[in-house]
This record gives sequence, C-alpha cells and structure tokens, in this order.
Amino acid sequence: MRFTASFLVVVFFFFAIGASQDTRLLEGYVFDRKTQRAIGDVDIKVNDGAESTTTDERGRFIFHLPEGVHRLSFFRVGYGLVSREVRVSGARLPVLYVEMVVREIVADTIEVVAQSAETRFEELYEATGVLSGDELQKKYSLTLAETMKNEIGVAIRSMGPAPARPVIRGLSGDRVQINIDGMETRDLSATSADHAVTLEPFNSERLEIIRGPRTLLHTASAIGGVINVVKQKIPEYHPQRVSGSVGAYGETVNRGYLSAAGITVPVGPLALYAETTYRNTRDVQTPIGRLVNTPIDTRTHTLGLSYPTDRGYIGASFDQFDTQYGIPGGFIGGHPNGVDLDIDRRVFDGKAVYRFDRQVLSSVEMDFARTHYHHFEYESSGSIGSEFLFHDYRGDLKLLMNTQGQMRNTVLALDFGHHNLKLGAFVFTPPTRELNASLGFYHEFTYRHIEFQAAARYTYADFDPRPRTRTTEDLDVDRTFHAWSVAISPLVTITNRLTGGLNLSRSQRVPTIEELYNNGPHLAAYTFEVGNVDLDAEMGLGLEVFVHYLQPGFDFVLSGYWNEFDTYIAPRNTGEINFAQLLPIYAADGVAARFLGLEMHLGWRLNTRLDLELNGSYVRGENRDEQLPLPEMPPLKFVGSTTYEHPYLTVGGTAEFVAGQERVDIFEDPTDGYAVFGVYAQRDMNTNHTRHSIILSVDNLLDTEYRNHLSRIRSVMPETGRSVKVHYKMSFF
Amino acid sequence: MFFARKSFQRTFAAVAVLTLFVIGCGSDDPMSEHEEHFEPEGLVIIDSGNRFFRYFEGAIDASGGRAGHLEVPNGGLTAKWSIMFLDHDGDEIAPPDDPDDSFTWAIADNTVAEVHQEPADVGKFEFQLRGLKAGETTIELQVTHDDHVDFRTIPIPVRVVDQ
Repeated sequence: MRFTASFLVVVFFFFAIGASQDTRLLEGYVFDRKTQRAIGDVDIKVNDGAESTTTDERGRFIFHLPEGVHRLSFFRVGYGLVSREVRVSGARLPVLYVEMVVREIVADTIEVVAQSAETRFEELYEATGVLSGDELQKKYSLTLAETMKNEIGVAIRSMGPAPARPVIRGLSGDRVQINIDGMETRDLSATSADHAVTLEPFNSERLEIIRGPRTLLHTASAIGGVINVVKQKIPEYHPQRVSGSVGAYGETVNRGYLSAAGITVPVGPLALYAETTYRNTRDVQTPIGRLVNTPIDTRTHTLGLSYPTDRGYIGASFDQFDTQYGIPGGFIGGHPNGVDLDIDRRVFDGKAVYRFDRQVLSSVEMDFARTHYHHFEYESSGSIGSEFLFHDYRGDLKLLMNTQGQMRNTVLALDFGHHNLKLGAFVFTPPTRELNASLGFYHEFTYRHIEFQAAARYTYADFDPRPRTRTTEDLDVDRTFHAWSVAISPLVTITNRLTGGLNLSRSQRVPTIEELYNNGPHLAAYTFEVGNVDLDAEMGLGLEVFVHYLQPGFDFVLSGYWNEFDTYIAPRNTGEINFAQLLPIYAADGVAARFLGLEMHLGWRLNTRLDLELNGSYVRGENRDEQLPLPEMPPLKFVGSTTYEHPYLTVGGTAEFVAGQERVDIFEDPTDGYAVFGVYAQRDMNTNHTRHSIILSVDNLLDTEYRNHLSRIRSVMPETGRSVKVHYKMSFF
Repeated sequence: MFFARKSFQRTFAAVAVLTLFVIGCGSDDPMSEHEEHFEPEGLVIIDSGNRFFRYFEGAIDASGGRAGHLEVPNGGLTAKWSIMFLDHDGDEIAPPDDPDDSFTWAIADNTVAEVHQEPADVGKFEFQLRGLKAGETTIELQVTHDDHVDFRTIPIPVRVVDQ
C-alpha cells in the first residue's frame, strides 16, 4: 500500500515537471494607501475584460499573461479606479504593488450594493461563516474552538483548556467535521471530551463554517457542519519570490507563549512551503485559583512541495502535530492529581488539481492522505493508562463541472477511507478496522430567479472488530451500513437587498467505532464508556428558514431551524457506577431528539471608521423518548463587538452575554448565566516588503467568575480569569 | 546544462516526496498490551476465618454484625488480614494469580495508620494495619495491574484507638 501510493505520487511529479509553460506569471498585491492594509475582493480586469480575477483576503492576485503590453484595471467599491500598464517579456516579472485610495460614497445619490461574492449564497456565507484576515488575527486564541467561540451558533465543549472542540447548533462530536485544506483532520477529538483537536490555528489563512447542502461534499452529516481551516500547506500557485511570516503570541492567564514561522520559497518551477510552531503554557489561572494540571506543550512542523502550472498543480506535504497536555482532576470520577496526555499525529498528504478548457468538465481534483496517530494517557504515577493508535488512509476524487450558465457549480465527489484502530493498556474497546466509501453530488442552479443548492451523498461503511481478550469477545459483531443523505436549499431574491431561503435535509450518519464498540474505563475522560453494537445509522430531518438583508454598511441575518432525529446517538450518563473502577457509566444509545434554534447576525458600519456587530444564538434540545432536555446544550448567547479604525490604530471591545442553563438532563447540573467583556488595540506598520501587525488585548476584563455549561470540569473550576494577550505577526513578501 | 537542471529538479521532487511519505509513517503496534483485567465488584476482609468486613458495589455492608470500619490499635498491629473478592452476584472469588496483579492501597493520612506486609507477602492480598497515632483516616484498597488500577474500593474508614 505504501509502495503503491509513493510510486503514484512520484509518477505524477515526473509527468508534471515535464509540462511546458507558454505564459508568464504576474503576481501582485493591492493595499489601501492610507492604512496600508491589504484589500480583498478587488476586481481586476486585463485589457478591458479579456481576463479578470479578484484579490484574496491578503490583497493578492495572479494572472498568467502572454508576452506584450497589458492594461490592468482595479475596481473596488469605495475606492477610486486605478489603472496600470504592465510589459510582459521573457524576463522574470517583478511583483506588482498597487495602492488604492478611498473614495467617499454619497449614499443619497449613489447606491452601491457590494456584490463581491459570486452568488447570494456566498454573500450569506461570507456574512456568517468566515473568519479571515485581521478578523482572524484579532480573534486568535489558544485553540481552534477558542478562536471560533464567538461565531454564530458556536459553543465550546471542553475538559480543561487543551481539549476544547467546537460545538455547532448544539451538535458535537462526529457531527462537526474539522478539515484542513478540504481534507478531514483524522484524530480522536470527536470521540471524547478529553481528546484534543490536532490543529494549530496560528498560521491559518481562513476559517470557514460550511453548512447546508455543501456539507455533503465532505460528510454524510448534513445536520451539523464542517469547519474548514485554510492553510495552503501545498502551495497552489508558484511564488515569484520568497514570502512568509514570523509570529509570536503570549498570554498572562497561563503564562503561555507561542512562536511561529512560515515561509514559501520558489525552487525552480517548484514551490516549497515550510512552517513550524511551538507553544508552551502553564496551569491556567481562574478568578478563584489555579486549575492544577492544565499545562500544554505543542510542536507542529509542516513541509509542503508543489509544482504549480497554468493548468493546476500537483504536490505533497508532511505535517506533524506533537502535543502533551494535562487534564485536571478533583471532580467526581476524576483522579485526584489529574491525567496527562501525549499525542503524536503525522500526516502525509498528496494533492493534484488539473483544470480543463472544456464545456462539461472544468477540473479534476485528487487528494490522498495518510495519517498516523498515537495517543497515550498517563496516570499521575507516569504509567500508561490508555493507549490509542490508528493508521488512516483517505482518498478523495472530485470532478468539477463547467461553471458557466445556469449550472454554476456542479461537483461529483468520490471518497474512500480505511481506518485501523488499535488499543493498548486499560482500554476495553476491541481493535477495529473500518472501511468506508462514499459518492457525493453537489449542484447549484437557478430556476425562475430562485437560486438552488442541492446535494446528495451515499456512504458505505463496514466495521470489523477483532477482540483479543475474553472481556471483549461479545463485541465481535461486524456491522455494515448504507447511509443516504440529501439536502436542498432554495434562495429567493425578494428585493435587491432582501433574500430569503430554506435548507431542507435528510441526513444519515454512520456511528463511530467508539459509539458501537466501547466497553470500558476511559482514563482521562473519567468515565466508563459503553457502546452499543446494535445501533442504527443516526437519521435526522432538518428544516431551516433564513432571511438576509444586505445594504451598503449594513447586513442582517436571521435564521430558525428545526432538526428532528429518530435515533440521536449520544453517550449519556446512566446514573450507574462501574463498581470495579468506581467510574460513572456513559452509554451510547439512539433516542428520538429534537433541536429547535434561532440565530441572528447584525453588522452595521456606522461610518467609515466605526463598525458594530451583534451575534446571537439559542438552541433547545429535547430527548423526545423521555421528555427530558438533552445534556450539554449551549445556553442562549449574545456577543456584541465594536471596532473603531483610525489610520494608525484600530481599537475595539467585545461583550459576551450568556444566559443560565436550567434545562438539564437527569444527572446534569444547571449553570448560571454570565457576562464577560474584552478590549483590544491593533497597530499595523508597513514597509515596501513587510507588514507588521501587533495586537494587544485583554480578555475577561473584570475577572468575572463564570462557568461554561459544556465544560466537564465546571463543577471544580470556572473558566479562565483576566488575561492580557499580545499577538505579533510580521509578514514579508 | 538545461537537461542537467531538469534532471536535478525531478530528482529533488521525487526524493522530497518520498521523504515526506516516509517520515509520515510511525510504529504499527501499541506499546502496551491489550490484556485481560480482573474486575470484581467487592471484597471481604477475613481475620482467622472470620469475614468481619464486607464491601460490595460501592458500599460497606455492615449488616449481620460486620464492621462498618477498620479498627487499629494505636502503636500496635492488627492481626494478619486476608482478602477475598466478590463477583457481580456477590459470590466470593479468589484473588488474581497473575503476577502482573498486585495488592496496593492509598491511605488519606499516613501519619495516622500504615499498611504493614512481611517481605514475603508484598504484592499478595494479605496485610496488617499499624496504628501510628489515635485518630481517623481512610484507606482505599486496590488491585493494580502493571501500573494501573483495575479495582478500587471507596475510602474505607480506619479508626486508630488507644488500647
């Protein structure tokens, strides 16, 4: 298997390197002359529209141009038109830097609706599901979940600071998939509250929350979501010169720091990417004292190599994530001194994209990833309590249809996966092999001025447990699943400014190995976990209604959803105790469940310098079999923020208001509401080829004692206290 | 020269990809064995054939004249006590004979009492308690497999009393 994969990759490289180039690559960046900030979504036309593109969030653009003189025109709402003449000759082209000047728009006489996104759907996603650029840098925190915590509908499941994982609309675990550059991150973070997400968000370019029919291109769970972290480990474009970034981050609440460096280098026709980060934190301080055994020590290394051409690229990357962290003890079922975890994840990823000039098939994308994951849980004496080891192979083939006319985006996706889980020490789950394959179809079309997104996905999964001990021999039950998911979302343009739409979905999620075969104590989770080999696929129906109002300087999104599950699979505290280890027993069972929720987003640019934003979300989960609230449901939350942009300094504040959670399951305690505040200031400095950005922020300004309802350790300690953070990043290009 | 450069680039790309793949690999098997474990649900403590203390499914069973705590003479040793375990039905089962299983304990206050075992008895399911000063503490009795605890009792009250 290894030999075949490496042989294929090498063959691809040899063929790719033999390809020829007929055009020259022009790379450039667009900046605001006054603030020297990169400007995204600038429309650039070559020779009055012969070719066009838009800048990304870094203000970057590229063209492949034949030799000769070309005129480039730069358009952006709110800025004056800029034109540049470029001579393309046989010599290597320098990077082009373009500055644009703000032009005041008089609202009474000119009405401009920014439509940088291609469709209304994309406008909606940009408003509610994307974190990038300065916004991402400002919100950056210890983990992916902390970074995203104030996005709409997002909450954090945690068990100490390290193993935090995002929860979307009350749905957690396998229903929220985390991808890096479109490929699923294979780790055990979805299976247990003590397992960390193996991803360092510091050098991410963009975080996206994918909802609706598009999720079916990645997972069978249409109800929930996909978080895609864009890192570009495998460069898609050939850089004209060396570029990269150096960064550092520190915070007082855990006396922690992070250092990071990333670089992209042209090596002949190849593009090389390298990144390394190191994080070290000590025990977290809360308003009532130190949370013992919560240090984190994490190293990441990434190396990517690609051969980009006019027609696409082919490349490979290696990614290592190595972390040690502590889980605090002291609560019911917990070890007095806590438990230590050590995770090593290594990923080899190979990717190829080829673009055609054809009417039907526009491009083909292939992705292959091999993940090696090794995870230890140590008792305070230093002995191994649990050991998890898996090798995972994942392949993905996507055919993208031509994006012209009524069929703007049509994708056919074929995925396969092979997962081999082995266990050691005091874990009773049998070693299990999982084989899965899926076929997904996604289509965007317009019918009578109504935009549609539609998707379907078929998933085949086969589980083959191989018990090696007498205790687990009852679990030698092979399971095979055939799951179907479909989703459709019509979007109606009611007026120029107002759109409304629906999301309808029928989703089937295949249970995980842990949900099927767990049967024993889990050291760091402090639970005795029992799976259920008779589980059916989790079946859910989803309905969402939303409206989006957008005008220059103002946008508002309101959505309500109703998700109904026939068999909602959740490990639930049974109230029973395993009498050998005295651990609470959590059993996986499928119950009828209902999720009702409301979400809103309001963005308001009061003037050219002052922005206001308000996000709100509420979800009500109910176990319909027993007429009880579902456990671990996020309470009502509002997050308000304001930003004032001065040419030399940006300052802002956030306020988070969270209601108490009184609707709790039988063996669950209620949590009080709280309000926490934060402030920040950001200063950017630019030179010809560098950009310095420094952010100083204070979280939990009033040192408020508050508890997260989704934290497993909330009975012993509140969330972190006041923290001063410094974030510095220097980009060079 | 041109061909030499192309050849170098191909070799560089191939070696780099192979290197990335190889370093992405790791060990194939867990370091620790997936083994059988001893999982009783209770125990009795026996003094010269007398089952004077019983613990079952998370609770001390003081019915039938049995003790609700362990009593230890201050400055002295108890008799040698032995342990038998109880299965799910409450029936007695012998202590594990796997050499990887051993008898361990955790005393909340080591200044009040300590466990005494003759050198030949270390690891066996027989022990004595020595009172160090008058007072109360608790003891958690455990079966440890290699380095992790397969079975543990709740903290059992220990009273050290003056004779």
